[in-house]
Amino acid sequence: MENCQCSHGGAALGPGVGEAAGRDLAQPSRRGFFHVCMAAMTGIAALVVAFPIFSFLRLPKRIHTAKSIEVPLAGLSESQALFFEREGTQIVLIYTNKEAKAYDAACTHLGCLVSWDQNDRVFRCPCHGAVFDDQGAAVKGPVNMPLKKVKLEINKGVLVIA
Amino acid sequence: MSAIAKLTKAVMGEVDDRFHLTPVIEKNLTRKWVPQTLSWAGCFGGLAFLIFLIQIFTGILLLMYYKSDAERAWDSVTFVKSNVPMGWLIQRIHSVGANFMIALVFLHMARVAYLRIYRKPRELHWISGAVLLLATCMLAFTGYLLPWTQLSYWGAKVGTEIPSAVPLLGEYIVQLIRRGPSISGETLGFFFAVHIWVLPGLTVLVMVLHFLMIRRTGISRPL
Repeated sequence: MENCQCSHGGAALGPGVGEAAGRDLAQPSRRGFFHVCMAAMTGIAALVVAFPIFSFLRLPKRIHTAKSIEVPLAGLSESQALFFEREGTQIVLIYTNKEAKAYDAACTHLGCLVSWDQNDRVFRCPCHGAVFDDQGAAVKGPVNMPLKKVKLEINKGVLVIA
Repeated sequence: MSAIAKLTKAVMGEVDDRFHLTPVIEKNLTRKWVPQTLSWAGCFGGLAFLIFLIQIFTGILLLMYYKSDAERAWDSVTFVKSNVPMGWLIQRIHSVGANFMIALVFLHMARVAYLRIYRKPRELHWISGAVLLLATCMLAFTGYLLPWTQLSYWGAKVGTEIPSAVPLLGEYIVQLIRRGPSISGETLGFFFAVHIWVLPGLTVLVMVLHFLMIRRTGISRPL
């Protein structure tokens, strides 16, 4: 039966027959072939199911996020701080002594958003009591890093947060 | 391939030492043979169950973006369809799947009726199946309103009008279902809660009973 090239060779490899005849194990068997085919088809089916699911869990397309923010200087007042969002970060804008300053509003301790205290002219962090002065320098609390400065440009009476 | 097979065997060996799991799996799944006389039409119930699982899965995915708020529902569904990768596909599978599930439940029921499988000892199989049919239809009906389109709004309007035919209590039942005199944001919230929790919960419960009954009596064999 070994090296049998004849047309009824398939039948010789039926269940049990090949093993009983001491079939060469290096030769692929019909059953083994079907196992590989089944595994391949199952794999392809699994990929077809998995692809849309993992795609769905990716980040969705967001429509238009502003890269720069423009504020007319005339609209600014001494008494309040303005908050803006730019590409996922919060920016705080204050106007003191006719000078505008902008900072990343994330506290340099653990990233909570600071608020502006107009009476004491300081930024206060609600989480662990950090305090920053109007220059952004750390004054009190568990921080020593100053608030991150954000660059400002003045263009024909319009303040641009780039 | 063989490495995976070896690993599986090693892990299953350890599990079997403790829980004797393989005989249970073999008895109930891998070595549970289908009766030879059963035709492919015996698959309708199982296929309906498969689609139910797909509906649960795609439903959970859609739930990540859906907002059950009259102001934002339509926008959130549109966002999934146009901005979320493959969102259009998941949303479409969920909406088309509902139609397929109803079709399969009806085919399953038609076969059971035609072959008179509902007779003793399987009367409760039939009754629990009828409950599942109603639950499936209600799932489809409540889900239809959620995208908050013109079509779903008027669909819900017509559908909730039906109980008004009930004598005396009709108008009250209609308002009870609509959570008010007309289809509004409250209707949407109510349908949403019923669609994602009440009906799936009821369906799973009755399905488990349905399957346990089938296991207990065995499936009906044609002569």
